[in-house]
Amino acid sequence: MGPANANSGRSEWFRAHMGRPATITGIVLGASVALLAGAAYGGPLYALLAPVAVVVAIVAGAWWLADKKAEDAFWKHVADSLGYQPFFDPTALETTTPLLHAGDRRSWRHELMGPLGDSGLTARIAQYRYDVRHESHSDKGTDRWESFRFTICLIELAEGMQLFPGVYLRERRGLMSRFGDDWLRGRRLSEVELESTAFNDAYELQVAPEQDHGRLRELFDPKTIVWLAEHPLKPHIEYRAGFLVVYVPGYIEDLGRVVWLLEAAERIAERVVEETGEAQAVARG
Amino acid sequence: MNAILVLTALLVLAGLWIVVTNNAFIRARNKVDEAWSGIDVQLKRRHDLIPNLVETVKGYAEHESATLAAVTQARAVAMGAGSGEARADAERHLTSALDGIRVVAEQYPELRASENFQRLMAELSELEDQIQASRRIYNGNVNAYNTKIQIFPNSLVAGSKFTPRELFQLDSPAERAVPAIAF
Repeated sequence: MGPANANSGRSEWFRAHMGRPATITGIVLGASVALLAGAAYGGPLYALLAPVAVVVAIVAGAWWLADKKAEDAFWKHVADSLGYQPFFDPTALETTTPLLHAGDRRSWRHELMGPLGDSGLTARIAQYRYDVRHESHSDKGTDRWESFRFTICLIELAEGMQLFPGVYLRERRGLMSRFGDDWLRGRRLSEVELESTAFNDAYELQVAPEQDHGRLRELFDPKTIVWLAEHPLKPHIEYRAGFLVVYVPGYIEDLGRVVWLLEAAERIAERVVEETGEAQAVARG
Repeated sequence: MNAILVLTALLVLAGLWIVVTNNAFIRARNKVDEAWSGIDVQLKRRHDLIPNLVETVKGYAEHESATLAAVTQARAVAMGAGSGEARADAERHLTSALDGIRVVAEQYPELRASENFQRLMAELSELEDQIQASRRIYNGNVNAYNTKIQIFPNSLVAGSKFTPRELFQLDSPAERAVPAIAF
């Protein structure tokens, strides 16, 4: 049985790092040197504070390493459990949907690829982050970066790209967050309300202007609306140019939620495939 | 002078609140109506499916004419029912009558094996799932609307113009009852 979440085993790793002869030697030597240097160059106060600073830095370093190892072990367990493989060069996906092209710089972690349930489709999951630069107004000031983190599941789904030229579903934002960064701002999109008050309270649904609204309502049939409105993860959706991204804000760090995200992605992908199939059948007569 | 200004400002604010609240009620009521039309569409789809289903069953189970007649009659009553409790009652009867077809199918292996019957039953099952989902959406909208018009001070604006709506219950009282467990 592997780690249940990205924090499992972190304390063990930390204790292992702290118990290593190299760490103990580092603490003793570093603290001694800091003590002597502090006493020689700064006086009694520095002699006291410098060794403490060295010990704190080494402990923090050990904690950081333990945290990273626990996270890597967890994602390896996720990959093994799902039968997924690491995939590389996620930057090739940056032009697919607005979210994956948002901000001034983007980064990816723990990218995995594998089969999406029994759908016959391939899913890529990853922790994705985009950063927005806020330029400093003073000459000497440095720019400030604001980060936005997501866990995403991306599926290539060319079938429905003509029926659904752009569908964007995300959790309804509060008044204050509307003033923050919005990667959909500036795009020509119209907001659609479906028949459920609970769904409309939970989500914002925006679509491309050329979207056929009848077809959209077929995609979001009553079962799908109820399922989305009651889903504990509140999965967000972007579907554009044959790429479906099902995502949630923040980094998911436990296996159960990763599975939930994949199941949600599978269900949404199947809805797109079903609707496309029905539309094609009607077109054929 | 100041008192008049303050009074005018208060009256303007109260007027704005009444307009905004009234519009919110209308939006909520429209959502209830929209959700009802969603249920109506699904129920009509079920009505449309029944003749094919009855014909298919008739081909394999000629001796079950009573069951099939009950389904046909329940469908006719449901199609003629208006809305509200009468409609819910008629649809409940139709659901019970359709359960009779499922029971009949158990006794006729050839019917169960029929591809046409399987397809129709799968369609019926999907439609019933959609009806359940539509009903949940409708009842959710009704709850939101009723709460909106009944809470104070909204109830002052609602008056008699906006009246509470009834929930749409499709399952029978027996199905809703919590099973008693004896130890």
